[in-house]
Amino acid sequence: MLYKKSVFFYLFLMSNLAFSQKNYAEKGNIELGLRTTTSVFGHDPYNGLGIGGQTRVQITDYLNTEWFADWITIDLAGAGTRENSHIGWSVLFYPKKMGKFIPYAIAGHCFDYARVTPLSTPYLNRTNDVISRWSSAVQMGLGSHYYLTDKFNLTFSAQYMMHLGKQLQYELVESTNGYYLETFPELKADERLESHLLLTLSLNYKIADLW
Amino acid sequence: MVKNIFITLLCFNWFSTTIAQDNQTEKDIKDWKIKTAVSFAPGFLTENTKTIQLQGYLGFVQGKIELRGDAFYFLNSFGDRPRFNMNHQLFAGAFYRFLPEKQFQPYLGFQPGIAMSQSSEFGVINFDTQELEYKITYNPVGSIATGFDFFGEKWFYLFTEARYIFGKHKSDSYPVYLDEFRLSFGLGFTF
Repeated sequence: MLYKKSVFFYLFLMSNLAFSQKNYAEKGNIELGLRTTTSVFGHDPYNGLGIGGQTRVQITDYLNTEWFADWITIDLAGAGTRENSHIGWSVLFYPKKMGKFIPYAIAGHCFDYARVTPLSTPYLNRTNDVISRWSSAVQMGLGSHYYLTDKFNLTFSAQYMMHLGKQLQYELVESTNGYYLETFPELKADERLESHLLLTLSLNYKIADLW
Repeated sequence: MVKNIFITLLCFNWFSTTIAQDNQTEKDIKDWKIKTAVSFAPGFLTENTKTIQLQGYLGFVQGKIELRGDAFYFLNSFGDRPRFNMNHQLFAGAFYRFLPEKQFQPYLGFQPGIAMSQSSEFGVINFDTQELEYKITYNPVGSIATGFDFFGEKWFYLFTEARYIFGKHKSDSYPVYLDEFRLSFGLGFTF
């Protein structure tokens, strides 16, 4: 079974090489794109969903840059909401182009704003318990473009993002009615490392070829 | 069951190859074209609940690719659990058109988006006014959509579309799923 899958995947790559005479992802390309992102394996064991966008400016045939912003929201077990906003940039390196299929390694830097809002109810207003912080982060990972036409590509990437900043002081406490989100807005937090995995699917369109 | 699927596929193939005659010239396919349409879109949620939305979109088509933005204006919901007072949505994304040279053009696409939503169930007490407040929040959503356009005339087309929307309304109170299966059909204008 594995052998058959390997042969099929190889034939898929070869068909891309054989039938696509055009060169994709060339220097000077400017692309605009929209992305949807999910955040997993983070501070909390709950997945988030986000949207965002990016611009790509390709420096050489094998080196591209990506300037992005995204916004992710995470439901904390029904006890509150965490929002993460990222704005930053990455460098994409293409070790080998395989026709329409172009895998890459990616690394970069971004700034992050995170806010945690605990659940309020008709009997309890916790507006004053909201906590937030700014941090800086680095990210790296792997991804791939797949060109559906000479101007349009789908891209999937997985990046591990590591934040350096003040820790958000909150804790999910299990109770008889589910979870309760305890926040500590008055505590002076330490600098900490916090990390998560970002899985991103994006749609990108080439708008210009500048050099 | 397999027989039914096979017959359906055969009918689809026959429809797309024989009935749908080529009506797009090579120039038509290479040129950018604008598409726009307005439609009513019924939606289906869990717990026997339905919604009605007003949909409008603007698309830019070149060859097999369509870049498109969609807006949904929430009109009403009814059923066992009409859970929102407001659920307007904006989407932007791309569609792949399988037969751009035919009259009958099926497509498949993905659109990330944003929902402006307000729960009708979960409010938070305002201690000053002693009233419950239902916060309006903005939440990320995504949708996968498929459908077809049927170009009967040069300027007009019929379309039918089905989409699945996923996301969650999060505010300062309990979260509510925004997941919904939505249909739309109507008449569009292209130039």
